[in-house]
Amino acid sequence: MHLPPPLSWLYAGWMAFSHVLGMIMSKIILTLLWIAGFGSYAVILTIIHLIRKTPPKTTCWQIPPEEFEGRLKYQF
Amino acid sequence: MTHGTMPTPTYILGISCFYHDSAACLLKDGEILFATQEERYTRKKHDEAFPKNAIDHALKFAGIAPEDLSAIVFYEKPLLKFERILRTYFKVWPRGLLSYHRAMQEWMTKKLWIPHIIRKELQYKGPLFFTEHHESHASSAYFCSGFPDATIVTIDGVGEWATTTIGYGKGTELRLTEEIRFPNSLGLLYSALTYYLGFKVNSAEYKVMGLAPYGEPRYRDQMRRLIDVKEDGSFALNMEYFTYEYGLTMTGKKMEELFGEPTRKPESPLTQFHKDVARSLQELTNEVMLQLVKHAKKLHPSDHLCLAGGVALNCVTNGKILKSGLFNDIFIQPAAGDAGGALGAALLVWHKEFKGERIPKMEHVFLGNEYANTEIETLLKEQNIPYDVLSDTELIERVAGILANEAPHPGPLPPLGHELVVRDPEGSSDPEREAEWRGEGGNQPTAVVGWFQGRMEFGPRSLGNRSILADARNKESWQKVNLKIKFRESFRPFAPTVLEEKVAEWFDLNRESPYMLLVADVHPDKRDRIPAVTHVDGSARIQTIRRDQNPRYYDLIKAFEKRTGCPVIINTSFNVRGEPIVESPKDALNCFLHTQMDYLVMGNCLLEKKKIGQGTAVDRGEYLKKFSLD
Repeated sequence: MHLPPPLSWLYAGWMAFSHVLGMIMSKIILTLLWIAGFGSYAVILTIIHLIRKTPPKTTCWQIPPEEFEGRLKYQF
Repeated sequence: MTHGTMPTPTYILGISCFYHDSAACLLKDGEILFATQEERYTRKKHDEAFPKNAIDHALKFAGIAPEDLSAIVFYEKPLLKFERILRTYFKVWPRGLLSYHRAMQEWMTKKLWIPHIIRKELQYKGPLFFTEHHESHASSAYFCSGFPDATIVTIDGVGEWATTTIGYGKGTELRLTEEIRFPNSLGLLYSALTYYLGFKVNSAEYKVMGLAPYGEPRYRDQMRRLIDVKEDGSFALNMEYFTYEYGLTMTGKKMEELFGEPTRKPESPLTQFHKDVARSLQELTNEVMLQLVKHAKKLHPSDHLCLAGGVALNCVTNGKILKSGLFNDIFIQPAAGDAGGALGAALLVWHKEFKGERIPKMEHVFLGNEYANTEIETLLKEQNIPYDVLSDTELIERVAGILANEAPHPGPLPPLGHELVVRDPEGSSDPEREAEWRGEGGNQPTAVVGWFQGRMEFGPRSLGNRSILADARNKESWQKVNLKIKFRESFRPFAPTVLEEKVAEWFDLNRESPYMLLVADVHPDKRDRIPAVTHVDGSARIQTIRRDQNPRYYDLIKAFEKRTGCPVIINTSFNVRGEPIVESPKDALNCFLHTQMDYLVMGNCLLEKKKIGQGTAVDRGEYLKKFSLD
């Protein structure tokens, strides 16, 4: 964007401020998500695991999921 | 979606990126046309960025544009990988906050947008495919092996979930039938101990392999506490000792308590303890891999074994597997790491989606760019560098003579600069060693030649087109190349290239080893004749060469043998420590001018350092600063 000074200085300052604000906000949002989202789910999973008391596996080998038609098209 | 009628020609581009060792590979009707790693162009070792340069060079080589591609394939499934990362954080919560922040930033801004990035960078609208990570590895080994059928084992740090897989290949069919899942990973165990020993993860594991022969396996019990290996070849790590699930490091305090020593700081002196840990780790790796391949053979009997994944770069283990006699023949993908994933992904789609035919066995990895003599001469003239142009025959004879020490000695070496003291933890404060390196007392080292020819190699090894060559008979050659040219740790051995027809005479190996992926013993009566490539335990990481694989390189060694009776030379990669292997004549010239290499051969051009001058230690220091230590 081409602006004459002093508008260009204001623009540059605003973009720099937005960048810093974005970095701070994303850290805050991610941390809130960590505590509320990941935390709740982690606690629920732990409780389920404790209740079920799943026996340890005797081997570490696992069978990969079944192949399905056209699976190479997908990211999963 | 299957492609019943294939467009001709069918171009498939495979891409790997965003973890380490980005690469691109282009197939034409199933044949490998071009393959290269991004680091060679950006000059940033193990560069993980989107391989735009590699792709541009591949398309330029083929003379096509992105719209001519029949398919683009990415080497792993990003959403599956993201699922593993999220589930891991659920498991380790509340630990892992810092790691989570870093990971989420990467994923939100880049890794979740791979289709968008590919289409935007290449302006591409065609079909896009995603293979699984270990499938890409398996494919890169099996489809390049030439075997009609094979047992397949892939093993690395981690892909999406799998860290180790077993499967089979038959004709054009490839199937993985069992896997071990994260966090149980032999690759990550090796990397964790690499970190503990003060080396760089995903970069310096091969240094730990090279350090092992200096030690004794004193820490077997400690290793047993880290990993439980079961009868069926599977294994489980004791995650109490590892922090990679949730931390920014691989190991923590518990590992230090287990061994009774703190984590080694990078570039600090190596002690016998570190060597013993390296040795113990190598023995453990050998044992686990042998169990794995035995189990794989039971599940999928075959005379042939295909190996891929980063752990398949462990040549000592490969040598043990070969020697076990479990399989008649073994093929290890030369680009066994993630760069080879690009190749494997493209091949998998060629066979599964395009129903393509099998390609012949991969006989060489010279799949990158080549530079004509005219381009080389233009560069040298621009830089005012004196050089000679020789015919093919003259060149071979002259360089063989230089290597055999028939040329006038290059002269006394200038004093070592600051760069050496900084870069070698073995001798950073030892004046006696420094005098030894300067060649004061003892034999004078022979000349060292930078050799830049033909198409660049694909994969981590230099195999005769981007190599530094020296006389294997002279032990001072080893010290000179290590300390004054490559500026690397002095414990690291060099690898030999030997004429294939002579390999059994000099080594305990009776088959080809074209990709330097097998370690075997040097015959006891030959060890004194080639001390520069004989490791402290009498072993060597061997490359064999046949004329049809690389005629010029073969002729050079043949001419050397005619003069000396020895068909073996030192072959090490053309780079300094921390630098990717040279790609272009400009890279080669820079490396030559800023190190104490004596001669440089590019195409038919021969450069002599004594006609140019050695350059100052300050210049060398400035050059070396560009590359962070690996």
